[in-house]
Amino acid sequence: MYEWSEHAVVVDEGIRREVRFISTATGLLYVSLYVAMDSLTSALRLVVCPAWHADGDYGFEVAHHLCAGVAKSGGAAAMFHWPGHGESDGDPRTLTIDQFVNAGEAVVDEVLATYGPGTLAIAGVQVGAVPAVGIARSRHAERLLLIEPDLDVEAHYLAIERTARRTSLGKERPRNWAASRFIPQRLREAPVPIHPLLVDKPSGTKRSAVVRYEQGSPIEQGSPIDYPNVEDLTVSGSRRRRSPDHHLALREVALDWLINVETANA
Amino acid sequence: MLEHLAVDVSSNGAVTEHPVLMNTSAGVFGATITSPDGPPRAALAILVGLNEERSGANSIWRVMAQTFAQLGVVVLRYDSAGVCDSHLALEGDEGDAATLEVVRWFAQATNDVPLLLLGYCKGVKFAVTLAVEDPAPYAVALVSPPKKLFAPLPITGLKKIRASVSALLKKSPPSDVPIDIDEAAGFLDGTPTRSPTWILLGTDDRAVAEVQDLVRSGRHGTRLSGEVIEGVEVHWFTTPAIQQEVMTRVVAWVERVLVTISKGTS
Repeated sequence: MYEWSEHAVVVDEGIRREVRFISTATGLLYVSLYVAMDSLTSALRLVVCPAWHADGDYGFEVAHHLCAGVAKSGGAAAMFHWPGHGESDGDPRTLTIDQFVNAGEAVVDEVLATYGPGTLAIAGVQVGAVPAVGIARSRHAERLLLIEPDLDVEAHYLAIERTARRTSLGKERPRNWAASRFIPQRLREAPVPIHPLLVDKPSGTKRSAVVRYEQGSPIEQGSPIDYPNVEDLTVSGSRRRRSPDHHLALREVALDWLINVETANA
Repeated sequence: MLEHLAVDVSSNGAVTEHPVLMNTSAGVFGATITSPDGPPRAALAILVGLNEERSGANSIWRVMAQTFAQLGVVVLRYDSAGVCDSHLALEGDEGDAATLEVVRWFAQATNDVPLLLLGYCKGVKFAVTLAVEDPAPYAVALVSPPKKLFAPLPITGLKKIRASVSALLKKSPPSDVPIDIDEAAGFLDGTPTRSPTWILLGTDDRAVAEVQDLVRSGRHGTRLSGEVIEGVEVHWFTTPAIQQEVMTRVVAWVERVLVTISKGTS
């Protein structure tokens, strides 16, 4: 019979990719790792918290593409599946924000242990921005990048539930259930305190940014980012979920910020 | 049945999940091989739906794979082209061809045990394609197959004549004939003839009338069988109850197939 573990690593277009499970308090956590093929020419170490799994076609792709982009630029990056979702163990019905943050911390430790210390950056996509803030604080990340952040967890899942009600066309729908999966209800009960987004030193993040579409963003349209010292990277002329081109533009702006911030400080 | 579906098999050591990455003609694909504790009795490929990740809605395919592995079956699940760890793989025709490469690789690696195919939604297209290749799969299951598999979209005029001539000559239809004809012909003339085929869907699924008519027609005798779940649409697995019912019935199918394998019959 085959030795399946031999196939956990692949080299493609100058990137070494690896997938593995790591042990955490909630069970096995699925992690996807990206690193430059030849050598680590950049100190950047990125961990991405993806969007909720039901938004996978958007939030997961952003996470993977950011990781691939960082690896192409000479750094190392990882993204993971939320506990209780996708390939990771756990129960989505009982997932708490602390468990989510702990999972992200475990991924940070895995990345640093695998590729060595460096400039730690944490990114969060949509509602994944909330645990990203918690991980950046606890692991003293130097960079924090929030992509289309839904920092109000309650509002995020209320919007998903509204959509589920519309699409079910009046049919009976289980409680705490949308998009054919359980909503992680307990995330709504004790969210990470977001204010202030940036904590004073010594645990403070040195640079942070929010990347968002110009229209349709969860942050009120046209409003300035309401956090001191957070860079606002609005993608001019873009609309949320309207076009793959807009999606691509958002990704590229996010990647550009991550890589250029690193280059400027190298 | 329900009890063992609820077992957290990933932590009891009974099965092992191996995340893998594969280079294909369309780029890197991500997949998981779930293997039993001992030598496998069969190999099963789960052919997921359109743009679906390997875990499926609410991790339905992951739970099923763990359950199958507990029964002694080694299982492949993959991310669709453009999704999750297959995010860099080309989509469309190239992605479809690459999907077949992934399954053929798995079939080759496990060619010392009988191969089972489980197709869901678009995955049915892959199952039908693979079912007419050598060696023939031992058994095929089709969950919520598309309507066009049984009732090809109507074609008219010259295309109809050309398709008929192709069928008479047992040649592939000309490229400008809709793919639906190809799929329907491939299924009706090939799949159940070579491999016992079982179909599962709900009374609200689009293809239910066609499936029931075909099974009643006796065209394939006992080699084609179907089950219909009353009062639901299986497609999209929209409630936990539907997911549980589908899991229960699919696991029962695997158990029946394993009995025939152990008896040395098909």
